[in-house]
Amino acid sequence: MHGLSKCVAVLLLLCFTRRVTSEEYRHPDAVSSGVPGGWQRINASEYRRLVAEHKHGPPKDQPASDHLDAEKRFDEPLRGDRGKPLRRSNYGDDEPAFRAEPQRPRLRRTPRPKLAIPTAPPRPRANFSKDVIWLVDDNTFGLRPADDQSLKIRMGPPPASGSPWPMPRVYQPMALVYQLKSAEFHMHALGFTCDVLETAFERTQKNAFVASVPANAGEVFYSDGRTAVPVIYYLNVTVAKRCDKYPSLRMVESYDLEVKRSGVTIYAQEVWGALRGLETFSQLVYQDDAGHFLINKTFISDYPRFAHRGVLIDTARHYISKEVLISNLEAMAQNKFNVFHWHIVDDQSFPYQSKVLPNLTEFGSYNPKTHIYTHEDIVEIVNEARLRGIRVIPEFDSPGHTLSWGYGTDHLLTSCYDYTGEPNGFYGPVNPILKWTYTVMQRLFTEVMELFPDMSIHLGGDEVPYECWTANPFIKRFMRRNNMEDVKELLNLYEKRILSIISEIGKRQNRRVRPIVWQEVYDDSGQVGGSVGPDTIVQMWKGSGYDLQAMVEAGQKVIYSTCWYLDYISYGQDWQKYYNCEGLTTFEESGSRNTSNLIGGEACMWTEYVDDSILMPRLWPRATAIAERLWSSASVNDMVLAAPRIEEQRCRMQRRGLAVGVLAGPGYCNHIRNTPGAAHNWSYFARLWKLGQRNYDTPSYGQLKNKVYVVDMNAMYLVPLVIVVSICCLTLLSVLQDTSRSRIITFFLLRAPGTSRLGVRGLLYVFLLFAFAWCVWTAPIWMNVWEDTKKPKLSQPVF
Amino acid sequence: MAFTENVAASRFNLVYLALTVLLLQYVPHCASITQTVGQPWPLPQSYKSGTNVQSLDADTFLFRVVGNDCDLLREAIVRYYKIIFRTAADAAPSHEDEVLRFQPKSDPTVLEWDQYNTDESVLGSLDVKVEDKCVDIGYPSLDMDESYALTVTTGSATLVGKSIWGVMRGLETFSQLVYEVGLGAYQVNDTEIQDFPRFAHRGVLLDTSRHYLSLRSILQNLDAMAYNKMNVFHWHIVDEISFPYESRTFPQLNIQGAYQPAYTHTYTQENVRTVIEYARLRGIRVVPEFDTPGHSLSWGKGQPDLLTKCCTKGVFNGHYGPVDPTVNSTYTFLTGLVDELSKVFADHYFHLGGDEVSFGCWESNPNITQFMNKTGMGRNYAKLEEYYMQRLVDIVAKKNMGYIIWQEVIDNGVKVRPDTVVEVWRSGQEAELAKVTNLGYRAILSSCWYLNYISYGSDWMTYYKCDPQRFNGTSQQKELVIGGELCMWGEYVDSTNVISRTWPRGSAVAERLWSAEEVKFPEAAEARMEEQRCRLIGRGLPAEPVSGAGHCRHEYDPDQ
Repeated sequence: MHGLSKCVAVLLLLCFTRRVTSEEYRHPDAVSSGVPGGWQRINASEYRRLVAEHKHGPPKDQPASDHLDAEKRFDEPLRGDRGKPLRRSNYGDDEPAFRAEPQRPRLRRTPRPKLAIPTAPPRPRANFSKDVIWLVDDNTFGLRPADDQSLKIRMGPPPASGSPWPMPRVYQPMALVYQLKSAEFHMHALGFTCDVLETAFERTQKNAFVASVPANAGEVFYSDGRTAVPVIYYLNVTVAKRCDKYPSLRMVESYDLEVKRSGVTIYAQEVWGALRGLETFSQLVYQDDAGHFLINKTFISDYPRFAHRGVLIDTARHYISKEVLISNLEAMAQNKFNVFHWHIVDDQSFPYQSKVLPNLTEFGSYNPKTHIYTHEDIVEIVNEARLRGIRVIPEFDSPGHTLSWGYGTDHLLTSCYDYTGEPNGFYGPVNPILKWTYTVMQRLFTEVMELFPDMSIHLGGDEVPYECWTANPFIKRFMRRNNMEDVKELLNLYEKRILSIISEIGKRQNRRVRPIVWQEVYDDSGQVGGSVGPDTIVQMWKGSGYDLQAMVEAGQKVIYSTCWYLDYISYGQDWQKYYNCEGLTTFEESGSRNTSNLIGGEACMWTEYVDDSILMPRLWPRATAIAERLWSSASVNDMVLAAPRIEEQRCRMQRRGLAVGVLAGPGYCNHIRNTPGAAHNWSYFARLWKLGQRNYDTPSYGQLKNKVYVVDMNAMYLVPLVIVVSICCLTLLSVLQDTSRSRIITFFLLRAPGTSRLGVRGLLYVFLLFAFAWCVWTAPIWMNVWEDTKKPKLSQPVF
Repeated sequence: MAFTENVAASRFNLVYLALTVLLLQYVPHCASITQTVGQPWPLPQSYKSGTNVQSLDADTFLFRVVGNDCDLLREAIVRYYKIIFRTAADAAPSHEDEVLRFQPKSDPTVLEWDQYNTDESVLGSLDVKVEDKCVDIGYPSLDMDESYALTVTTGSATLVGKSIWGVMRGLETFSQLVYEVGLGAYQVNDTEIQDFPRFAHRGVLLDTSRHYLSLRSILQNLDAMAYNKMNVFHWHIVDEISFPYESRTFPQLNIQGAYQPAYTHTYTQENVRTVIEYARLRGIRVVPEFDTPGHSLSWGKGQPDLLTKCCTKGVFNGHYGPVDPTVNSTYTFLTGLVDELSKVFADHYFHLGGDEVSFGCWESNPNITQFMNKTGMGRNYAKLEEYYMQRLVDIVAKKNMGYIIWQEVIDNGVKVRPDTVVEVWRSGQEAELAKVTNLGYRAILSSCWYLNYISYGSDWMTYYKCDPQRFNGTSQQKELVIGGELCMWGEYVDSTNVISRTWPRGSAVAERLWSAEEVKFPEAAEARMEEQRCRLIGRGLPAEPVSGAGHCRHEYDPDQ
């Protein structure tokens, strides 16, 4: 029986250590094209070393390793950490680097074919400042040859290809390339599923396979003369928890993604993480010259830095149509934003359709027939956002910024008085001393909170013109009678009432409410000894990093938007300003005691000078820079490294049909580069650009989580084998056991038959049970694999 | 806190109510900029508008050709019929239910329309008269006559222009006078207009080299130019970064020099013809610019030995500089190219560039030094540039074409032919204009109209205030200023935002160049500007907001 189990063990071993055949190829551009962080083969020990290096710093006695050597090491016999041949690793068992040296050479019938991979020429490392310079005078990228100061050419960086944005925490692309065929690519949910995931599949299918190169535009020859690379057919998503209906502040967005020969796997705890993973997957796909969709072998483990990553859009200064708002939601999803802060009403107009107070809309909107958001519109927008894992937080700003409310509601606004004590005909903020005010608010917010399911509602509270309050004799009298000395106490009073109204409505609707207010409410009530309450979140929009630090340390939950006012424009590229927002970079994750209190940030698009015609090109791709700041690690902050990637993100969004603008100077959107024989303008620029780059290959991005969940798709193929072998063994055992109680069998079973202790047989039963469960679990994939093998194989790729 | 407020509230509730009701009517609607209704942009030289109102019926309205007739006129009439009555097409249901004709599914203004649909008189037709010959007159030119007279009185409307180009401008004005009062209901006020442009050259420069602009966005821009009565499309077609023009004589220029020649980033001969014809139908000239000797890096890829090889210590260092003026092959090449361009482009004028030539590379090249020593130029590189420009100008002159150059050519002391037009683009425009006109050259101004530079807020006012004739000079000198151009350089502009960035900020330039010198106060123009923006939006162009919060009756619809 020892022999038998050894046989099984060897069989298992052989199956697990997959043969490397000549199926895996390098993309000819693999090394030379500008994919950051990747295009470089890395083996397990290297990987562990890098992780350790990341955690503990580089080993002191060793010089920093040159990762380019990994290329060379590929054909050498690979050894594990302790000098033994490696058997299997947690990370990607079909990685050729993990291949065990043959245990029994006699088992091998044929010598293993050697993988023909051209050794990449050593990449030149040039001084950045020598060839490509950062032209400071007008904030742009550009070229200037070192020896001719008079020649200066502005240009954007050449876009990367197949690199994700924002940068995942752990991003490990490798130089192996697989092909995807849009018509033959299938996505499956292995765990829980729901409409969110199903629509995400559709969206991913659409977004990943947007062709920018005509099919069969040209032939691409890979290094061994073939014209095609191995095809991946499946993407499997495992969601570990039942789907929530709506995204929330507490949603878990982490995911793990692995691209392997056998397929793409995404593991996520919640469906929201799966959405982010699918987005990342769709960004990894790129096209070669012949129009093939390619993807690199990749391992990604990802989670966001901040839970609240928002975009504010003001629909009151100019009306923004529903269609544009939805296309903005799509752009947000492609940048992993998760909050749409809808500044829906303001001084200028009241486009929200209120059914309980219809006059607000009737008189407050620009045009109550065309320039409003009906309840159906709102439900549709909230639903579109939900399907993309985006929360919709409406803002009803009061007591300031409410002029448009006054047209439809009498006695709501304070009338202002001039110095003679006469009303001057203007109206100021909401009148805080009337009961009627709170009745209006109560009715309005009840309706609003029924429409918007999110836990948070933004109550505004910014820029209250106190002069109008202090000039009004009734308010003056009210303050005198209530012993109020500072007008800020009035704001404090008002906000307290509003917050209590909100929490009452929350109680009635049986939900927890986390209201958000602008910074002034916190500042002003703090000055008069009040507070905004523990559940309230404060949004920063003015002030410096110091304020932020103080607030966070005081235990206040804060959203940051000071440096992200995207409505302010200037000539040239300004994204680096948003990318390295000072308020946030000085605020280091480790530097503060109370990091978790900073829950995120928001890009603000106020619409004084923006409407439908310009919103998308103005907001995107500038907000894209913010996306990376809010999602990726604080250490991802080198804009020179980010430039080609953000350029690719811009082109990608454009390709997917979003009207995004220009970011970084002259250039064009296309990922075809560096192909010998074809004329590309980039070839010259890209070469210079790359010369100037620091080493892209250092996988310095992010840190590892404690645990990495990877569903091993390869093991799927073992299921039938395991079952058949187990059944054979059991049958054999039973037969032998029942017919003759020979000593040999007793010897093999290690224990006399009939005793109650668990023996090999018992172990086999348990093993079989597990195998069976595994089989059931992976059945859907199985069936597809089976069906797929029956399809006729086409010799030419079909698009 | 509730009780205190209760007490307070009950005491003055009544007073407060009375006050509020009284005051609510005084609340200014600060929400939006006031818009004019049915007022033209740019403002005509003489414009009288009456209070009598007539309505127009989309179904029965006629343009009557009473003067000379031609295809240009007919095309223009069809175009303007569609523009004036564009919402009528939306309003009319597809079936023949007459009752529902002007009551579409979601008519936002049906009440408004009812209110206006009283028994006022109906304007049945516009008489259009072209006085001069209009058949086979070719392409618009610098000397074209753009004046017209437009009268709308009860029962009749007349548009008279000497040439077809003037009538086109008049039709544009007429289309702006008509305003919509309900979906599918139009009105026009009695009006009397005598109009002619202040400057003959009113241009828009688009740069298609820094970023490729799609054909569609170029045509859209031509539309916007026509709506603002601009008449020159200065096509900065090639530059340092790419060469999207598909040359017949030298195809390699495009194949090697374009961003992506095989697919999309190229203007084929067909595309160029389309642009020229589209512009001709709108009375717009197309002036191509092939900038040499600087700004020509992309030429070198497809034309070896054209560019100067930059040297370090006498050895080629891998970089290229401006065009090499010392070898004969350069001029052979230029002769061939100019020959082709003179056939492809219809306009008499041709922009030769000549800006921002860096002498550094010329200085480093020993061959050039040798050539200069031989010809006695010494170390004077301006002389070398003059030598180059002179030969280029001679080549162009042989083809009987006029040319425009950037100001540096004059600044460097190059002597050019007296009929040269000089484009002033550097700061210090007043001194430069005085200098150029003093030398007797005609000048175009674009210094103050670099619209690619953006800033927050209403910056159109600064463009509006800039006047090309505001410099120290005699009246003869001022007459030599023939116009101006707004420039939209392509560093940060591509098809996604070129229209919204150019318009309606460019409209400010348009009014400066067309209207009388006295029309110079942006505050007075603000309301008309807002109407002009909404007009462009309504006609399907994504014109961005320039005057703060507000709204248009029809917001931008990208599908239009």
